[in-house]
This record gives sequence, structure tokens and C-alpha cells, in this order.
Amino acid sequence: MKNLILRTDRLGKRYGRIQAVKEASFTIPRGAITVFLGENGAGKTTTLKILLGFLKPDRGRFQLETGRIGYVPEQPVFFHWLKGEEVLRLTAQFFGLRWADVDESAKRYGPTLGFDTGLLPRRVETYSSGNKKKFSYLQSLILSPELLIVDEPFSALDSVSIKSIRDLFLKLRKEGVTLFLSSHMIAEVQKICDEFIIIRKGTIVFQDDLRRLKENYLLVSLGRADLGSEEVSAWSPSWRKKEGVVELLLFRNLRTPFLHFLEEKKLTAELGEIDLERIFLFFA
Amino acid sequence: MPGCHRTRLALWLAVKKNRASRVNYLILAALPALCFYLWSKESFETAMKFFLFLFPYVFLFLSQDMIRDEVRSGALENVIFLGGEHKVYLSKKSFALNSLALGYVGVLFAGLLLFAWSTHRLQSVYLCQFLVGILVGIYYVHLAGLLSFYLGGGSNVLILVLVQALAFIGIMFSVSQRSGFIDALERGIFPDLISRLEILAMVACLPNVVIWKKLWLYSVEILILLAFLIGLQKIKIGGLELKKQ
Repeated sequence: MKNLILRTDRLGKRYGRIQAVKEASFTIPRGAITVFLGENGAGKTTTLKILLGFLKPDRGRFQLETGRIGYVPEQPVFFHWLKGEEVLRLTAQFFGLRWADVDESAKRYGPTLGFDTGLLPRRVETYSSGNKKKFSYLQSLILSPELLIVDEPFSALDSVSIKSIRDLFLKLRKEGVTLFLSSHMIAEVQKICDEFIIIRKGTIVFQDDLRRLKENYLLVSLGRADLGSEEVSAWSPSWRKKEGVVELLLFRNLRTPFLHFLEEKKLTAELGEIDLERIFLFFA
Repeated sequence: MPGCHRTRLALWLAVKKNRASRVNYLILAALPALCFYLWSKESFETAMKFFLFLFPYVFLFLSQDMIRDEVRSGALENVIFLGGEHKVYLSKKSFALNSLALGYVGVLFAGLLLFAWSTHRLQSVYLCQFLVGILVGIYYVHLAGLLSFYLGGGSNVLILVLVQALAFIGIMFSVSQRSGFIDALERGIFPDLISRLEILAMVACLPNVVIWKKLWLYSVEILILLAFLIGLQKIKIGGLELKKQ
């Protein structure tokens, strides 16, 4: 069993008549980069806010194995009357950190993030969206978190900064930090993703290790095949039929018998390698 | 994190926030300016009387946008406030604002007292009025705090001032019908049920009347209302969630 840093059990949250999160059960392995995927309104941010203690779940529970958590929101907002250095001082005081250590961390992570520490004497409100995001990373990183939760890690950032942040994530993972990233930018997160979780209409529909999935499975598209559900299920429990097109996740070892089956049935199929985008679209 | 540490941080944030507001400087400067004006034009006693009547408004004005605007701004969705710390911060905020206001009015009162003592005009009633004034101030902070769950942009304070102004105008325009009540207020004795109910309503809406007319007994009403407000605020903050911005 993996060494887990977080385990959730059937989390649920309702906003009036809208069931934002229905059945959110998942785990986050320690020291890995876990990506949380879902369409707009699938319940990603609500789930994150429950884990962070900003929302109270209506049902279910979760267990966090660390108290050292960093958090970077999608669009960070700070008290508009505070300067950057005051926010860092406040953070340091709140968590009982020495200012010398904070200053050292700021000098260490500032250049990595592409954040100009010369901005610190200015009010955070005056920063650009990108700099606010980078500053939010800096605020969390001075805490030396064991778990860093980021909502849309690349939003408001230019391509150079995106590359820097990606490299930072890999560096942090190397240092043993667990990262939990909620993102729409599949192409970007795919480059660094270890584990992924897909949420759909408030329910977790899939979780797996991306490399393991790529190594062991193929994504098969059968076109407009006239097959019964029992026939398809016999090959894979993970299949779907959308607009007459049957798609399924096929275990690589079944490739040869499956090709024989297609020959028998006089069917053609496209057998493709798995990537995060295709798997997301498969479950979305 | 220890509770005293959180209180200190809430106080630090309250100081920073209020220092950033130019309007607050103006309001805070208005009180000593008015007292000084009355002192120079009338007498020290008049200045002291007005100071004791007006200083609870310092508490009230510092209580602008206590909850709603901060929640809506998204600033509480910060790494500092993880694990429900946003609730702790908001509950400590009332204490921080009370301390801040008390610090300011305390310095002004000490100055006035020093002058009164050095010129042999010191009266023990000043201290009683100041203590009741603090109670009124704390009552204002919690009343404005409760209103700020629903009203943003400083309207929690504005609405209280507006209600007081309307009540005052109402009384002024109905002096002939209310002469009994005005007399009772002047004497500090409320003989019938109607006038007692009227004074209870007035104390709830304009508690400064207790300081002005030295109606010490009615401090109990303010205390009861304050306890009710604190309880209600605790429940509201306990259930506060940071929903979508």
C-alpha cells in the first residue's frame, strides 16, 4: 500500500439545490505530483476548499497526515492594505518562523519563481495578476510545506513562468514535497503528473498512476460497432459508448486476443497510446 | 498556535487596516478637534460631557466592513487561514477593534483627566461615565459586527447612525406628544410601562443616552444585549464558510 498523505471518504457538499460534490473518495500518495482534473463546475474547487477547511462538508470525512500545508488559490487575493513584505512577516509570525529564515526562503524561491523581490515593499494589490500568483507561491513556500495544494497552478502566468513553475514542482517533488494540483491545462500538467484523479459532476470517476496506466493499457476506439454491452464488458470494465462510438481501456496483454476478436467480428478499431488528455476525455 | 498570538495578529491587522483608511484618520481627529473647540468656546466641563457622549462612536466607526467585505474579497482564502483559522481571526477581530478603540480614547481621556486633576475639576462621575462609555463602545462593535454579516461597504455603520438620527428626529418632531417621556428622561425616572418600554428601546438604539443622563441601571440592559450579540456572532462565525467569490 502506498504511503498516503491524504485520504477522503465520500465527501459531499451542497450549495442550496446544487450538489457541488457528491461522492469524493480519493487518496493522495506522499511525495508525488497528483493532478485533479474535471470540467468547469465538476466540484474541484469545492473539494479543495473542504480539504483546506474553508468549507464544511455535508457528509463524508477526510484524513490529512500533515499539518504543514501550503495553498495557492486560482486568483490569489490579499488584504489590500498590506505590502508584500508585511504579508510575509504576518505569515512568519503566524507560523512562528524566524524572519531570517523567511528572508532566506524568499531569496531562494524568488528567482526560481521569477518573482522580483524588489516588489516586496509595495502593496500586493498593486502587483500584476501573474506577480500575485508568484507571490502566493512564495508565501506558501516559506512555510516549507509537506503538502502544497494549488488551484490552477498556471493561471495568470506567461509561458516562461509556466516553465519555471513546472521545474519548481519537479524540484519540490525531488525534495519530498507532495503536490496536489487542480488544473484545466492538461497539456502542462501531463508533463509532470504522477497520479491523477478525475472528478465528474461531483463524483470521483477515476484515479490512477499515469505511468502505470500508460504502461499497462491501450485506448481502443471501435467506431460505430454493433456490439452488445456484455461483449464489450468482457474485454474491459472501463468502456463507454458515445454517439454510437465504443471506446474502451484495454489491458495491453489482451491486445492479440482482442485483434483476433475484431477479425472474427469483421470490425476495425484504432488502438492508441494513452495520454492524460485522452483519458480525461474518455471519463469526462 | 496559541490564542494570545492570534489575538496579537488580529490586532496588528486591525491597526494596519485602519491606518490605511484616510476616512478613519478624519473621524478619529474629529473627536479631539470638537472637544478642543467646545473647551475653547464653552468650558472644560462641556468638552468633557461631549467627549464622554461621543467617544463610543470611535468604536463604531472602526467596525466598518468587519465580516462581509473581507469574506467576499477572497483575502481570507489564504494559507494563513487554513483549517478554519478564518473563523478564529474573525472572532478575535472584535476584541482587536475594541482594544484599538480603547487605546485611542483611553489616551484622550487620560489627557482630559490629567487636566481636570491639575485644575481641581476632577469628578468621580467622569470615570463612571467613561466605563459605561466603553461598554457602549463594545456594544457598538458587536452590533456593527453582526450587521456586517449582511451589509458591506461600511453600510453596517451607516445604517446604525441613520437609525439613531431618525429616532432623534422622530423624538424632536413629536415633543408635544412625548413631553411625558422627555420629562421622565430629564428626571431619569420612568413611572409608567409605556415610558419604560420607550427608554428600553432608546437604550438599545442610542445607548449613549445612558452616559448622557447617567442612567446607570440601564447599563444592565446594554450588558444583556451585548451578551446576546456576542452569542449570536459566535454562532454566525462558527457556521461561516468561504464560498465562491
